[in-house]
Amino acid sequence: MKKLMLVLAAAALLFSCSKDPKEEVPSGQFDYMGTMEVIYFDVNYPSPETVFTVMYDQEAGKAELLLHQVKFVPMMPVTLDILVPDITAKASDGKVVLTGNEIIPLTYPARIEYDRYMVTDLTGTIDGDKLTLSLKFGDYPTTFEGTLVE
Amino acid sequence: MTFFPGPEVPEKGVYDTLSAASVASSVKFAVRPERLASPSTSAFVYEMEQRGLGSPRDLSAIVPNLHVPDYGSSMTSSVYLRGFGSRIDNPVLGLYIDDIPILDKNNYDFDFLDIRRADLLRGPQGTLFGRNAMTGVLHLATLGPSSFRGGRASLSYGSGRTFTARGSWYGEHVGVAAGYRHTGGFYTNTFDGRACDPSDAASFRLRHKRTLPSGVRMDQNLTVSWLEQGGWPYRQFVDGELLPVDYNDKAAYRRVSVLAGNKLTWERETYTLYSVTSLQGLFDRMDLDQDFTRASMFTLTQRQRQGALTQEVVFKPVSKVSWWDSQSGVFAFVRYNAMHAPVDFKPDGIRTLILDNANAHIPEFFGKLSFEEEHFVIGSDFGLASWNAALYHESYFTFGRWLLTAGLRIDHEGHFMSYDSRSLVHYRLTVMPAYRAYETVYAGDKSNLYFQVLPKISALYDAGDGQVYLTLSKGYKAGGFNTQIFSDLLQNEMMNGMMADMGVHLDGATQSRADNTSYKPETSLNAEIGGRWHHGGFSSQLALFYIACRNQQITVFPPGKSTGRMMANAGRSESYGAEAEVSYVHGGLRLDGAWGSAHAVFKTYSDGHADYAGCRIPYAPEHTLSLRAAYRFTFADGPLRSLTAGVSGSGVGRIWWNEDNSLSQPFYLLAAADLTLSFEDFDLFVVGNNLTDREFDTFYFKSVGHSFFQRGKPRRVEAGLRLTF
Repeated sequence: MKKLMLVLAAAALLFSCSKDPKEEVPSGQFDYMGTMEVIYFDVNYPSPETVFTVMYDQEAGKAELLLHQVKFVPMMPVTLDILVPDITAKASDGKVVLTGNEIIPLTYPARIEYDRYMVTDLTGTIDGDKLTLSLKFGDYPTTFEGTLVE
Repeated sequence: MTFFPGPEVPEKGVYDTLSAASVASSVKFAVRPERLASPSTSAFVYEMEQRGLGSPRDLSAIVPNLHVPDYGSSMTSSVYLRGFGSRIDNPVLGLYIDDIPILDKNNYDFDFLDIRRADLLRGPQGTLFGRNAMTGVLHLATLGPSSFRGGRASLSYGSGRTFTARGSWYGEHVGVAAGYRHTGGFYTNTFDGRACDPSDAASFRLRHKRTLPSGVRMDQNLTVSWLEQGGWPYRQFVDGELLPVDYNDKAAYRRVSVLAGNKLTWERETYTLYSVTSLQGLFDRMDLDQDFTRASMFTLTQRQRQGALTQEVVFKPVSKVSWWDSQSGVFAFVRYNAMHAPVDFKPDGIRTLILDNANAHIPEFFGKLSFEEEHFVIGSDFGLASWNAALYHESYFTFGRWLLTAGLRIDHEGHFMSYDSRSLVHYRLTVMPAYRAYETVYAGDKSNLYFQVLPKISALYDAGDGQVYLTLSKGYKAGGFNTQIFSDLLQNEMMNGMMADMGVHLDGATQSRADNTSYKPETSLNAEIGGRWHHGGFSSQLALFYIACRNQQITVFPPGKSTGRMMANAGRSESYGAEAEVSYVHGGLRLDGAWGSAHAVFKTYSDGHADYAGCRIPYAPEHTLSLRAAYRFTFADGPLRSLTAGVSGSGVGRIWWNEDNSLSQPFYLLAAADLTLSFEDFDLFVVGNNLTDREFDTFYFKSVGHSFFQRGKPRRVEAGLRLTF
């Protein structure tokens, strides 16, 4: 009997803990620093210390992604500030799930369209202080993993 | 020219107690010129007027190793002495007028008006004269009530439709002088067929000297001058051919200068105290077609409003011992300059200097960059403040025939610059739907402080008919700010900013830094040995010198198709050479000769693109030469009292035009002559310069990738009348 009571008490404790809701990600602008990797002609080009900024509107369920001075491959003679707008951002269990397809990225701040680098198959999550992303810029698969910059 | 008072040519009509007593004109010349352990060249009013020496640049070559080229405009005033010099900002030669230091080099080119005497001391004079007396100091003393009584007037007309009128009157306490000169010009701009270098200049001076009831002697000086001129007769050099002067935009210089000085002298039993105060104002405006071609590229309008206050106190105790004398002093100045210097970019300049450069680097995806404006202005406003405070002392020890001098100056100088440079353009790339406004602002401030310790020691042995001396000294030329480079800085910021506005950051793009706009003081250590000898009518002077220079300031043009000049500290350089002067006077005959040689090279200098170590320092001549023979015939009967005829030759060269020494001007000699008929109350005179009409280049530079030369002035003759009453 005593053993049964202990098991019931532990189960009740566990149940009560699992029922606590996670804090939702609020609306706002969040900077993440991490490594972006681009596959260009079957070669992986990592770019450490890359900063991605997520501008998240919880109420609208939308987000924009700003890539700061990114060089997709070392052969590029320039770095670019690119804005990916109109990303669907759905809050779920304390996380934010990002999705998007056929999004035309823009130069920033001038907002000139980069047709040739249309974003497809965008998926990602904001979980705690982590951002992970996977997308294609044009024909070039790109991933990012970063940590929130306080 | 008289380089030290031996048997002097009498100064006609001018009684100069100071020159007759062999004491030069500055309160700081503590000993007689022949006892100075520095070579010096002196000239007096009569000789200068007879030979037509009408401005500081006319002393070129007459003073060994001095070269003041005549190019550009009166704003240029470049002075080279003993292999060193400066084209912009601070000079290597200090200039004093009646003990007042002239702070701004823009005031160095002016017409002589009743200059009583000119003394140029070579070698660093920084201990007594401070900043910018790095290779020497020129001291001018004007006529005043104590040195002349009566009136003087002159009228002349000459080549280039040059008309000159001067008049002055000196009473017991007050003297006034005024002068005017008009020149129609010597160079034609083929763009519009008009003379590009006409000039009008006028000046007025008021002197007031009085001894106050307290015994204090007061000497006041007010000089106001006005100048308006064209200039810059630059000819483009293309494929070995020198094209005519041909540019389309305005080039003009206008200047108003005000100099007010007050000198007080307290002479007591145990000391003499001098106080020299001055207020100096400079108001000028320069308009410049900066490309000097028919293309409408870019123009500069630079206006300055400058005011300065100087104060110097010199204390000379009456020594209680026969073997020691001294002087000590305090000097200070404050100066403020409000400069407005917008650069106007026009269609050809926008295309070639900005868009072509930008489109060569913009990724193909974006297309081509264009501006909506046909012209735009890069505005630049500067507030430039500078100040200086110095303490100095020199002691003079006389032991028999030996004179030993030891001096020290501690000099502090500070500079402050506030800058505000901005532009507004509307730009568009092919992929953009419309023009987009972009404003560039580059503003801030910068300050620098410097300390200098300037020692001097010398030993002179006076053998009676001659002296020999050895001098070791240090001098410096003040630092400053590269205001002329701000147009390039803002262009750089504008291009980087426009690209960043589009989210594009070019690899290798550099950020403009105000640190690059500063240049440090230039310092020199000088070792010199020399001597003088005179016997009867023969006088001679010889000097050998070595100068080691650190942080030499040279004018460089930023690489590529850039718009401005800038000063850079070149590392280390040296100059060594010799100077010789001889003079022979016998009866009415006078022979003068002066020769200077300076081997001036960079020891270490790399601008990041090329290494110039071992190359000659540009613009300073390797040799200077001046020769003159004159004879004065006197007549006992008739109205003609005397006839003086003189022939002269002056030459400079070789002059290297650039740091890599790929271009140079060989040595050239210019012939001159003068004739003066003296009557009882007036003189008739004729002066000719460059009588063989020799062609020579007086200046070279590059702008926006093009090379330009200025040819020297052609043959000139001037005739006129001088009165004394």
